[in-house]
Amino acid sequence: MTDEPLLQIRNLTKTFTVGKGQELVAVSNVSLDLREGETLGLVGESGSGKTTLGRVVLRLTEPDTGSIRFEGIDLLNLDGEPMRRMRSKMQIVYQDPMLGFNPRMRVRDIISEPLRLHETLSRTELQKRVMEVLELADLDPRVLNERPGAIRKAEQQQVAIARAIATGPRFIVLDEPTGLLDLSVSIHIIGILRRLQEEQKIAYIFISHDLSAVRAISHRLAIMYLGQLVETGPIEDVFARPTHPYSEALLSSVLLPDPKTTRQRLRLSGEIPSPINLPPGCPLAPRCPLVEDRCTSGPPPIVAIRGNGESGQPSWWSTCFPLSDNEENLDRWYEIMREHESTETEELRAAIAAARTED
Amino acid sequence: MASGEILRVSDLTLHHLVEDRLVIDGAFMSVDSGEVLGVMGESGSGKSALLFGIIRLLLREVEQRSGRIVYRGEDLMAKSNRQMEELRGLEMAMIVPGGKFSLNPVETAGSQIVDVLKSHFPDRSKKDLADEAIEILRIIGIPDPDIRFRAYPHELSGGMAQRILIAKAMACSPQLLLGDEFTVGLDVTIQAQVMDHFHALLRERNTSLVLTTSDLGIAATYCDTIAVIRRGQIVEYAPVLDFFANPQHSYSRLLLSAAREARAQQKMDEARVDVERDTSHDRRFVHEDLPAPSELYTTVAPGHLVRLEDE
Repeated sequence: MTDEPLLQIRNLTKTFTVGKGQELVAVSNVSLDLREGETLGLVGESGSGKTTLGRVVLRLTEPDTGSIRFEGIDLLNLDGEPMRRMRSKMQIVYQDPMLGFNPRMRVRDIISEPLRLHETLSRTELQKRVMEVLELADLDPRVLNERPGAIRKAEQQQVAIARAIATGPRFIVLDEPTGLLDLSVSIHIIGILRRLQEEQKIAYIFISHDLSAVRAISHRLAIMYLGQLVETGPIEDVFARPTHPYSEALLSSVLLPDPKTTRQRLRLSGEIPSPINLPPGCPLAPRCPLVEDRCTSGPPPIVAIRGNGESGQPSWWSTCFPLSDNEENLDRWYEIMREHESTETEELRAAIAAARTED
Repeated sequence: MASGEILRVSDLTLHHLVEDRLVIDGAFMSVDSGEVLGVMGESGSGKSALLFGIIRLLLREVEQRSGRIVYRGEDLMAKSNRQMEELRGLEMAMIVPGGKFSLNPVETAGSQIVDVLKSHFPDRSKKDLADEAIEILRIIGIPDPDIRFRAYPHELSGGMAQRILIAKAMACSPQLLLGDEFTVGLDVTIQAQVMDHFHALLRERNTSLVLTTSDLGIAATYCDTIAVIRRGQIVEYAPVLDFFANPQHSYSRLLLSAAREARAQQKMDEARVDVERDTSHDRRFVHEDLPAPSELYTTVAPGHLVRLEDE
């Protein structure tokens, strides 16, 4: 096995032109590595570019610049038949599986379609493979003759997973696969995905709003804000000690399932701005409680929190001006962030007081 | 504290005529002024139907088989449609989910709030109602309320549109709000912003809320009392602290096992500062006289009922 990761993304950028000469930078200069059998959790607010990044990596949307190497092959240099063949190794599962099914096809045909496109199998072989895949996705064979609309939501998602793994892919983009499901069902789906990964060594990019689902399945975490990655690192490290103010704001907003305890939160002002014609500088600057003058001057520096000799990429990095001053003394940096935090009780009092005085 | 009781529901049963099943089966609740009751359940459990049953907005194919709904001492079942219409918006109102998709796309945010006010205060001047609508937007926590007043739904973010829906429900300062999973789909940071502010307002005005949710974080953070509903039946009803500390029904335990796991992980977040919450407010709402049939429910502790499980 070589040291090269399964998937290597460098400086990927995708800009959409909207209206008259207005530019929407959906993905801006993103670099990532993904190893065999690894899950990268990709989180961020709606409109941060997560889905576009997932699509660009699969070349379902063409990037403007940057490179994508998959199994050592430059994907952006492939076209026509070689690219089509490559697609059997990279798949996608969407949030709403029904949008990707032909409602008139039976489940059996939905699952076997990619096999018919990518492989030449006899009827018995095809049937055998469908049954194998069905079992991997923990589906009851009775669904085979159903149409997708007639089965439960969770089963629909399992069919989407079965279809995605039919051709034995090395890599799957999971775009909010549990977004529409109830908690108990979502836990079931995550279980299936984890087992598949262990058995088949498939790498995932898991895109989600649901931070506890992300934590349950991912090895590494990438946090995206307005098209840029702001922090990437090992999942437990980033959850436990995030270094970017946006990461802290996002992770500290998760409500604890415990009525006796609350958390100090780093609060951002306002909402995510329009990604059209963004000013230079750190994308978080207009909302960040720790903002300084230099934050709007140009792109923030990449700060290596934990270095890693391999391929020159740090295993944990973050991109922030004020953080870069405290690179050597992270404890001080955490203290600085804490000083800007408040609890919901304090917030409550402030809000009540504000409502009173202005009434 | 029965004196503070604002809503009392007993033996509410709703039957779906087409699917021929009970959507709600013998539901009960008691809600005090200023209390937040969280109705927890998965999709299809009947939690939304319960809210529509209380405000008496049922689909044509849903029929009420039994039930008493008493709002501030008045029997809602005895009211005519006309009387109910007067009550809705003014006394009790529903907060629907869906953000901009639940707003009228061709009317400005402001005029949709004015519409609510106008239907209850037809004699007040246009200017007066518009001023009041802007004031409501400000109280709900909407920045630049006079600008948002003139905005169309498509110009609003998801979080802003959801705040407009809250503003619509709160326009006439109703005493009882019914919230139907209205933060679903909002990002966590926005959800925290919206809920914190909304919760503060409820406390300030002593408004009651019945909130359906499937999010244990929301239940733990904002609710005083929890009712767990499964297949139309309330399986457990308890003050929030009791519910999280001592769940009794097997279904509640299943729900909470996920919470325990998440919590165990969260405890490893060393850079986080967890703060003990002031729970004195939560202890105010203990309903010792819940209108539940004693042959189906056991009392575990004051205000904590569990439905008997069939083996």
